[in-house]
Amino acid sequence: MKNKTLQAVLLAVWFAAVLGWYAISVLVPKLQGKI
Amino acid sequence: MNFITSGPVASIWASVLLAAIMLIAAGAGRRLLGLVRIPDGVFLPSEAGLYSLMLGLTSLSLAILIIGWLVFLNAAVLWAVLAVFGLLAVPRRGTRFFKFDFKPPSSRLILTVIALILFLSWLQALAPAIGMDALSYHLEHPRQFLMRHRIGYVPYTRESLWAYQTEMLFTLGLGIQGATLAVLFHWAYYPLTAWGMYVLAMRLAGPRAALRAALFFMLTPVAFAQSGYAYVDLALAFYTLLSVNAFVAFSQDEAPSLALLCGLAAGAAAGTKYLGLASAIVLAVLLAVRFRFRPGILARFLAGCALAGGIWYLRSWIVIGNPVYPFFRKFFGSGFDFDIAANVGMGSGLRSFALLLWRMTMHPMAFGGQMLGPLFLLFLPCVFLVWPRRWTREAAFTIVFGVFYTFLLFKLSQHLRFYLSIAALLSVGSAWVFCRLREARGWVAAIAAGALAALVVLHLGIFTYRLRSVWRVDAGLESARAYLEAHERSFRAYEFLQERVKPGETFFNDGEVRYFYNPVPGMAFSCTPLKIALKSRGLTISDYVKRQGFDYILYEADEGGWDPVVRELAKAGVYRLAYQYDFYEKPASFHYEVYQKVK
Repeated sequence: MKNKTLQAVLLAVWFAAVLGWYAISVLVPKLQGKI
Repeated sequence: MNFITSGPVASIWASVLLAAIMLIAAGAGRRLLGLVRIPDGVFLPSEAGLYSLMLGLTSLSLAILIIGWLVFLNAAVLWAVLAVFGLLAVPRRGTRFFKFDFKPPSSRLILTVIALILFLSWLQALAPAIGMDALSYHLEHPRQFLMRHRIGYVPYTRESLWAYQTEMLFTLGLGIQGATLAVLFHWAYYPLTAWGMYVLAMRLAGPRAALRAALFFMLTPVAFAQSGYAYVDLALAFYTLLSVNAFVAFSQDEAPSLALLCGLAAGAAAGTKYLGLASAIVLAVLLAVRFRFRPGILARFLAGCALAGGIWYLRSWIVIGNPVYPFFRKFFGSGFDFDIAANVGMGSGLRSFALLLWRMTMHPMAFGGQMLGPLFLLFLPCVFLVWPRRWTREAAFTIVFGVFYTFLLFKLSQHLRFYLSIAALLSVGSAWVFCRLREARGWVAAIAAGALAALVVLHLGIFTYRLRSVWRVDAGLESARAYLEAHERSFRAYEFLQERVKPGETFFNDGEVRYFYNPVPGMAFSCTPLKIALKSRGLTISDYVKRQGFDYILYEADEGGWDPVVRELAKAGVYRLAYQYDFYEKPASFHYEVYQKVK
């Protein structure tokens, strides 16, 4: 992919989505002792 | 004999022994590697040392099996085996053990993080042994071998004839030191697998990706967690990875002896766990395709497999008539139906397979409760942003291996820990993607670096949090008994029995499969092989218990499927409840009752 700005935006969106989802579905329940 | 050891002195002694045994194994393995005749210049720096260690540990395990099978097994015999290996290991002048190639500028930081993770995992592994399968058979059967002074079939067990290469090292550990050394043997496969990552990534993706691949694997929470238990999954990952690396080296250099080395590593994987057979089958197919079905190549590979791992299957076939007991009962005539995929996983169709990485990351409880971590899901899909103009043949074959092996595992069982070798391959892929993102410079590189930094902090936090219960016992501020009373559900029952059972009295365990801390010799236990044997005589467990008249019975009240005969006998006044307790082990609670026969 040649457009660096688009590349950076896609990367940031993907990382935010994965980390956010992971925090909600794994980390928070883990800290609450639910899993 | 319960082999409990803990505290600073035992930990340091066990660690010194581990280091000495690894050096001895590597030295003896170097001699064996000489017999394989790998041409000069084929190995990368540090690769010869790695394969030497692989051959040394495999041959040490085989030596312990053969000696324990044939002669009286005790600590003196185990020390004698080590002494012989020590003589074989005496280095010749001018030989180098291994050499790393740390040129990238950020490697010092990465090495520091790796060293920190290694230290945390070492602290974790020093705690007294716990873990379901470890206490059920990985450690229990080596304990039985030592108590019986013979390595063989333990009556009515499902596992004692399995491929037990790593359990031979556990036998050595228990025999010469105690459970600490046994657990440390499995812990050692954690950095060894990371080292395997390093060389494979060096071959496929160059030195920058190599060190990051090792770091990524070390950062995987399931790998860190496994390194604290006397399981065999990290050993399986190590040998599987070395077989893939030998395949890649063979594909690059085409020296026929590498096909033999590939087979030896695949055989070591198959000697570690039945699942290793699956990777050996995939590799055999890939070798056949890559080298256009040349019979000499396949013959070398299969000879290597048979040499390193064949004895385990032969042993099971000789003793019980089934090389993979208890599986494939209909084919071999002995065994029973047993589903290793039960209660884990999320679907078995192609859609589930396509979603496997996402689901394993986001739903750890569905895959055995351990965490894969977000690292692979974060970086691997970014391959579409950095897609290369062409893939090397070796990278393509490694990806094909990974996909097919994952598919086989997916169909066999979805326990996350069975996928550690896949996690290792994912580490190489993720490290390569990460390096390509960094090479893009600008915001892309900054975002990738920021994400990795955040993950390192997150994972170090998770790893440190896991240690909250072990540091006191490691430091000697808490006794092993106190630790086990609090963290091992079976321990209090066995502690009670240790105080109460007199010599000659009998004990029936009706429901707790963790036997390692059981103090009563000749314990009978409720299990499928016993039920099958009784059924063939027209009896049930109830009949058996009534006829045997055991002095003590341990009953786990919440375990499903067991015959609560003891309560019936207690109501009839034959037994009285002598001890009971509750234990909470996430995510379930357990209620134990110990009954004593009324005299």
